[in-house]
Amino acid sequence: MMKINKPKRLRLRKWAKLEGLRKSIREHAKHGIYLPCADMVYSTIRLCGVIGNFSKKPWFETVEIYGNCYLENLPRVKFPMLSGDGDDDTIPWEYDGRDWYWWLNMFARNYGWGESQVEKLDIDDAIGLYQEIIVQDQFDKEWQHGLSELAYEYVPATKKSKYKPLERPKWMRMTKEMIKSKPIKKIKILASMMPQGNIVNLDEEEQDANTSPTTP
Amino acid sequence: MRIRPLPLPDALRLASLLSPYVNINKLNPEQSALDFVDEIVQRISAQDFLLCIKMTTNKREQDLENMDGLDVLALFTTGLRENKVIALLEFYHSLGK
Repeated sequence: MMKINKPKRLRLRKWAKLEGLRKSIREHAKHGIYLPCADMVYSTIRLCGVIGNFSKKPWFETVEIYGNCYLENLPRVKFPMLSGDGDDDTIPWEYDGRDWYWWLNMFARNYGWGESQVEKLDIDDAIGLYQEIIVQDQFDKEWQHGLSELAYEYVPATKKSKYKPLERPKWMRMTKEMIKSKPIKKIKILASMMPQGNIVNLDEEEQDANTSPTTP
Repeated sequence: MRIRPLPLPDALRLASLLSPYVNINKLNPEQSALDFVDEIVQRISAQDFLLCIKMTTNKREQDLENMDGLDVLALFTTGLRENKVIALLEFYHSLGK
């Protein structure tokens, strides 16, 4: 029996092609068109540098190698942003092979990198940097949102404006919720040690809880 | 006669023939192989049944017609076993997910 070499871990450009093949297999299979799937499985194996004549091999040996190709090319780091809902509705400007141009555009736009730099990235580095770009982008948007009057909603009941923070992606919200779920420890403070004067609390929720007079 | 496991394109064709007759999500792990094959044979059309055997054995339809019914059934069963049909159907369904 011929010895089969281990699938390679691909750099970003080829990895994007691998992703394209995976999507294409899924789309064909969804529509019940299975014959091109076999060719795409062979293409995936070849792309990962596995050499051999698979057209004569039993299907289960081919599928095992195909599975190894994907396992080898999975991100090794558990990125929070990858734990999303998985909504992937096809967009009107989608086309075959767009994955690579998407990655190239993102790094070129944010870091000014060229094709030769982007294509050599490991997928963990690529996703890690992509997450940082999204986080930074979100913080920038939150800062701009905070400066806009749209962020301060007028509440007629209190006759005051209430800050309405910009929504964060689900995977960024998790930390906030975790902090929220921790109950705030109540500490009794002597009245004589309470701050004097008119205290303005911008957070309405906290303000409601602390409406008792500051001076005894 | 030696029945060989199929290469991927033919295996996918076999899976597409068998998939209407096997509900992979409702397989009983306690069920014997014989019961599994029996369930398929009860429901499969004669045309698909012959096509499955032709694919796994490379035999012609005339050869099969001259064979004993039990031998044909044995060929069908061996073909499914050699091609690890449950794993094949699971892979076939996983492609669209």
